[in-house]
Amino acid sequence: MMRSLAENPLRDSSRSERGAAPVVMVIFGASGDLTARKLIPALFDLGCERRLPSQFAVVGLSRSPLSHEAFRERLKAGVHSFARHDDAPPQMWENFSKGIFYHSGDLKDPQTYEKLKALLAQVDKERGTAGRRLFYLSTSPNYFPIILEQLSQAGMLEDPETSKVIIEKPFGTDLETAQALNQKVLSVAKERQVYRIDHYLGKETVQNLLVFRFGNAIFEPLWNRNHLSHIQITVSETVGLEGRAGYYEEAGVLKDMVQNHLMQLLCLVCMEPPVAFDAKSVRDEKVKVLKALRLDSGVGGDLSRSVVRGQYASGWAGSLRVPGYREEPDVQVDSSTATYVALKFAVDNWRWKGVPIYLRTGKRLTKRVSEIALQFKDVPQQLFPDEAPSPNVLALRIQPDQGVSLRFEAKRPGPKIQMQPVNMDFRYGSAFGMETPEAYERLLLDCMVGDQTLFTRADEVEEAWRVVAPVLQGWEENRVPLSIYQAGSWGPEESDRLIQQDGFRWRRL
Amino acid sequence: MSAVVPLSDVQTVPVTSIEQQLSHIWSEAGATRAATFNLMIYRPVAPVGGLDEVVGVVTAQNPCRAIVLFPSEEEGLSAQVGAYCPASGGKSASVCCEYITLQVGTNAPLGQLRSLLLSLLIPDLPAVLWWDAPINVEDPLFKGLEDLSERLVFDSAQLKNPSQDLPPLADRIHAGSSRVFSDLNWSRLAPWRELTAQAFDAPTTREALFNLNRIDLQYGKQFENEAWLYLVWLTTRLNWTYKSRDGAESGLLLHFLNGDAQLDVNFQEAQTPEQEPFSAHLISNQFGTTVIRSSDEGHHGCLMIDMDGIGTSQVCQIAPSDEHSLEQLLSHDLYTRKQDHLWEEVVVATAQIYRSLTP
Repeated sequence: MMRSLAENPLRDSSRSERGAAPVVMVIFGASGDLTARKLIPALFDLGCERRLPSQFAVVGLSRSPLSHEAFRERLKAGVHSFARHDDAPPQMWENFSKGIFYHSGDLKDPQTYEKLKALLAQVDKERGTAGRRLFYLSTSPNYFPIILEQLSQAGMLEDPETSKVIIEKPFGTDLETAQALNQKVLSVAKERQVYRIDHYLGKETVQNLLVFRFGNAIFEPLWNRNHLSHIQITVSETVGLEGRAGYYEEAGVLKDMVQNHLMQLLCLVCMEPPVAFDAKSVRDEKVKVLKALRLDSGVGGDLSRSVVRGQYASGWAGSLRVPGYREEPDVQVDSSTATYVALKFAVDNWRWKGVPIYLRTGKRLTKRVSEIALQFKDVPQQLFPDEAPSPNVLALRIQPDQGVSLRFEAKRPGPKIQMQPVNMDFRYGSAFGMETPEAYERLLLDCMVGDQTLFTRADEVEEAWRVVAPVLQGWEENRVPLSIYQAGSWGPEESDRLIQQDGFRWRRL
Repeated sequence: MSAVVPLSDVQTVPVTSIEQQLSHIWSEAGATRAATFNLMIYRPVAPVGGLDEVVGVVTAQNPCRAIVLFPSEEEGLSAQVGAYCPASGGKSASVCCEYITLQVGTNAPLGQLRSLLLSLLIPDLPAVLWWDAPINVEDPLFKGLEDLSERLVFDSAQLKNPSQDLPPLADRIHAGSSRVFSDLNWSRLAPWRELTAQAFDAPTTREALFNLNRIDLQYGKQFENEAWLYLVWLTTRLNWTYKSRDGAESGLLLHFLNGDAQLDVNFQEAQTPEQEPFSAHLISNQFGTTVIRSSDEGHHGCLMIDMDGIGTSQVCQIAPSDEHSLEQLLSHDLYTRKQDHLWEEVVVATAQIYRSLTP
């Protein structure tokens, strides 16, 4: 009789409560950076903490011919550079790498998949992986439909219980392509087999948002239009293209950051409490937010009142002089790709009616910061007329200094009433002096144990594309000018005007 | 390198001036004080040369007010006060913690000590007692400190006479104490329990788990308590109930029942001088599964599955050595907020076996 993993009576006792069943992870696009820098180090770290099953293997698949051994050597360097357990004893790597294999082939060729099948059967025998498969699609998105079709043709997606597919971003390039890809995915697999990954959701602080909101009684009563004046979400990067011009010229900031990462943050901030902490309940609530979300361009629908797009010119990154976007290698000299965007959204529901939500994100900005700030309304009556109290702010910092702070007014010591804003600060690093796992560790483990809560569902992806579709269209029709900002600044001046039109200011981060 | 650096010189002060001295330190130092809980530590001997290294590492990772108590030949109570910051951050960038050392003289009235501790515990923060000594539940000092804490961390490996000392503790747990107990010995065992559990994740090996008929368990001399916990964990998880024992040439031959089925356990101390903590050989009708724990460099754990007639597979998993360090174990257990019912079940069952073994 077959029993499920949950029926292992010894599993109840495990400190890592969630045990993954034996499995082979097949990485398509294994010669790419993601495999060496993120996936394998994350798996190695999971292995070091015994969160992987003993019967586990990785098969990398790519076009370049490589031996198993050469592939392992290549990954070893990545583990040394990027794994948290980079100081693990050498036996750890020796043991882990025994389960790594490589297969080269043309992704369009059915023979590649037949040979892959044979290799997987052999791995099953050697590693005891029991026919379970986890296909990780980490190639160029153009190949996603091809790989899915070929896997299906080869009969490798037939059993939803033993085969799963992880799909890396970008999931489509607009609403239509996302819908087409979803149709393709769901024609060969069931939704419960599909894990659309957004690594932002694997970050500890992002998950802490849910605990912060729904594990504490004091914040939720304030979390609505009665108490909040507006919300700011900032994800700023100091880096430029980092050799990804080919991808970025196509994607730009909106597709690279907003449709996925920032939308996910917005959903987690604005969603209603789910009835349970499970995949369906959480994702249902996120979809409701997206359905209620729209650009807030005001009367007349002037897009420039809700959207600012920018592109960096040359400037400074710290003490380093850096080129402008159009001077970067492999970028068109007249490129109109946006590297910065600021947006104003409205959520049409009872909780958020009248609370604007501002998003900004961009490259080559002053600081690398990710933060969600909830600004409270002013006090109803100014009791201290000589003072101008600054509004209370609850800031949820995602990086670099993960934590939560609450700004409020305090009286300065002395004979007069003088107010000064002070911060009540919680820092992850101080309260929990332990290492934070990498986002991919959490997400890969979730996938192995079959938990889809932190992955995006088909309708969620499509709704997110629907929300940004008017922006894409407006840009195509040139209804929003491209503003140039200096590298090392906080973005174009138009961005300040976007928020100042409502009487607010971007937080100085 | 030490995990913490002193923020100020350690001062010997009258017990009535502890808070005053701490206020003085913080007002002078310009560092940020942080505490997420109170940590009371009882040590049978005084720390040598200032702050204990383990306490330094633990508090650097888990900001708290640490109150270290140890017995003294001197009369009454005396105190030393200091503050330390994590060495990695430096004084300005870090949150720093305060340390109070209390020497408890032989004639110090327990009531005075309790009253002092009550005044020193930061209000509204949990109080954890780490009893770093063999437990005797009847010891008035232990009782007094235990009463002040919401969580108790101890190490059953330190029990001098487990067959006598564990049952009263099990009775107290079984009686439904609201206090959370954390046994470092149990936490130390966690990687090996996980390794064992992993061996039976695959459906092919799972069946063997339900058909066990013998376990041969050998333990190193100082690891008997750990071996007991491991054995009783296995048997309770698999619904085996202890029935009886037979004399064996060396060690014990224990019999467990599950319905009509019987499980025999050979439980014996290893004769070799450099024996690993324990090794267990789990034998079923279909095939044998060997779980070996070794304590050599790097704390390697290796698990071998011998499948008669099906083939043999050997899977080694290696536990990082820092996972077994006292600092790591403590850091984990200090945050335990709920009673580990599995451990409770194992301790109670172990106590029952101890009682039946005692003539």
